[in-house]
Amino acid sequence: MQNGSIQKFRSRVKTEAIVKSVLIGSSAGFGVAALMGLLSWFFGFKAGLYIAIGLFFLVAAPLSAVLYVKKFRPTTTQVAHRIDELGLEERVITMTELEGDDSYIATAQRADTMNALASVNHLMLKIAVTASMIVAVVLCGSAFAGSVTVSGLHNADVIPSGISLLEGKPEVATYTVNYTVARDTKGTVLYYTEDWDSPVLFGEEITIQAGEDAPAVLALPEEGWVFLKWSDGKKDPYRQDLSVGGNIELSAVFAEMSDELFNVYGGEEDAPALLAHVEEGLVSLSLSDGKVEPYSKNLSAGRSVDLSAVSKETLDDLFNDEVPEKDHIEIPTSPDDPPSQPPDLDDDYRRSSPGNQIEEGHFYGDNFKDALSEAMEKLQSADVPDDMKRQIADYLAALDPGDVSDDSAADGGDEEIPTENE
Amino acid sequence: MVTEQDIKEFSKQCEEIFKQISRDIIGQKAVVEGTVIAMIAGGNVLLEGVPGVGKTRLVRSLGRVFDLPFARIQFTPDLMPADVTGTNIIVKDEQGNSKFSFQPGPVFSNIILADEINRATPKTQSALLEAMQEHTVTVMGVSRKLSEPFFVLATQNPIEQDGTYPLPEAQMDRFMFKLLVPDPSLDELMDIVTMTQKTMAEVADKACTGEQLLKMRETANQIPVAEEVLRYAMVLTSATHPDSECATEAAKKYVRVGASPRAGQALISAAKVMALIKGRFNVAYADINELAYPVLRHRIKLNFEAIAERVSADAVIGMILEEIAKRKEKPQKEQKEEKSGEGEEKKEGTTEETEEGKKRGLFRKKPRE
Repeated sequence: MQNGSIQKFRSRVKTEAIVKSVLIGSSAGFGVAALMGLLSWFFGFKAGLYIAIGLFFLVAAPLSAVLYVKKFRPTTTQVAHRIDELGLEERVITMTELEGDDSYIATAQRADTMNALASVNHLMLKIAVTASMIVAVVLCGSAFAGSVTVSGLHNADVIPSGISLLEGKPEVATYTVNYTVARDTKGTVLYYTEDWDSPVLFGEEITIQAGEDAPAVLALPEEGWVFLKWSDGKKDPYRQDLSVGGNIELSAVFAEMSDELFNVYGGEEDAPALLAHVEEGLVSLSLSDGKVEPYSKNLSAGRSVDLSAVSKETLDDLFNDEVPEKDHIEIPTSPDDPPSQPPDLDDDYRRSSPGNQIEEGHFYGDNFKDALSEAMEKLQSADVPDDMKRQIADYLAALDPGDVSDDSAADGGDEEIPTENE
Repeated sequence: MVTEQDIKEFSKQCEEIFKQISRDIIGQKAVVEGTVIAMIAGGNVLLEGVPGVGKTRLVRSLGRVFDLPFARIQFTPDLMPADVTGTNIIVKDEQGNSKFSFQPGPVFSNIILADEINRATPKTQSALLEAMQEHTVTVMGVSRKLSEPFFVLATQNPIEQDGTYPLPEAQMDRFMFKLLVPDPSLDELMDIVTMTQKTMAEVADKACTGEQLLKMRETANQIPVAEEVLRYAMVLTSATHPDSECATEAAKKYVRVGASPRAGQALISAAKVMALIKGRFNVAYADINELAYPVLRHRIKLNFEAIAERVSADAVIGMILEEIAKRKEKPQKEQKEEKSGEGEEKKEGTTEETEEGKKRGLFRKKPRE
């Protein structure tokens, strides 16, 4: 009977016990998880964040249960104590001790206790937790939140790991760099580092830190092949990617030397294709017209050609400003001829008018005429003496390379070709 | 076995007792209540107060209310033990032969008023020792039992007064209560004067017989005491000892000798009566706390430091109660510390730590077997 009458009070005390258990269990869980989070951040262990969150539940739940069962679960005596604290003057604790006693005094005591119990409400029994419990859970919870935040930020590469901070080296992301040869093409990719004396075959991908420069590489075609471009479109056979900010996966595209390759523009009037063949120990840099391909294929018949190949001894030289003047050019008469054979140039090419040179997609002569007329107009309106105007006009007229529309080039090209100095 | 009738009679008689006493005694409620409680519990009472505050009148009224043989012994410096206990005198029988015949002293009564007990010499004071404790009197090797109920209600003037002999500790311990009779308030004083202008004689009527009083004692003894309350009372008693395992700081500082086990007995016996008088069927901490002062104040011997600092026994008891209450408020925490403390004790094994550990565990309930 008395057990039933104090059931509400018991529920309150049980609730308090559960709250206490959860608070302590959570404190411990938060503490362990915070420690794990901090360790994972410190050592840069990215999975530690999730382990920390899991640890919280793994520690808090069973510990709370164990604490409740072993420590905080209220006994009847403890419940009686709590009720007596409401001013019942040890009636309930005495009643629990007299349980089973049928004597008159025990019965009277029970009745007295029941009367007293009726005067108090179970809600008067405050759920009390100590300040230290609240402080502990707040501190541990804050530590947990902090460590999870730090670990999460580290996982997102926003902040460096603790150990890198400790060592004074902020952690930098790493990227892989890989230069390969395109499929169905023949060539090799060499790379060169300052530590090694000669270029090394690029075999496996290289890992470098963000912001560092990738090693200088050179796409070298096999015999009978020429380098066309890199897979990103760049046409320099050598390249060095600076300040790498992401993974690089490029392939060198080579093309087999053939008629198709050199007869892009078609027609019998095309100039023979050129291939700058580099001697051993040198690398092709460019042709003198600025094109970086070791071959030239945009020459039209009837124009004079004066090209030279520029090469450098080593890749180091490529990245230095000093350019050794070691030129060698081989101009095959046809793509089928071996590159080592010197070309037999036709005189017509040499006598080609400078006006027929192409500049920015137009004949040089046309461009000159436009510029000349503009210069003449400005000269007429300029505030200079007339004799000076005449001298300037004569000089500009002398620079005229000739009308591209006439057949001077075809006639033998006897006119004087102005030199660059002129 | 206590019955409902016993409880009802107890309440009724208590009510009647207080009612009759109040006819003779103005005010002094705590003193009256304390005296009645002690009498029901079977204890002796020492009333201390300056002359004229109604000590003797109270005792005389009690004698009337309980309808018991009452004897008054006026203790003076020349009072001899035989004057208290009685003595053998030579009498002649019918044949003319002389023989010793015991002439009972005033102690052979039910209620003894030992008036101004501390004016007699310690030797005479000690004449009451046996009577107070064993309720027997031994004269010339012959023990004689006193009739029950037997009470000694002694009055004494404050020991600071001239011509007083402090009661020995052994005798003090035999008083269940030492009640301090305060000066009456102004209103009480006016009522006293008004009443005594009419008549100086006690007017209280009989409210309870000796047999009824014994029955009341028996009924009160059946009041249950929770184990923890009992433990609390014993802790309180033990805490008055500066060297005990649960000594309080106040006791260590101010007490030379603590209360004897009789104090614990007195606390529980009196608390049962007090609970029943209050209509409660169990003893509460509050009863123990309230009774701690009359039970302990004459049983603890203060040291020089307390005397020098003018700290009274009641003040020390207050400090002890406060300290014990603090310990009681955190039993669980203390238990936890005690557990860890025990572990350390096992490792360290120092006496001080062991005693502290025990002290912290005083309110831990013993596991039931």
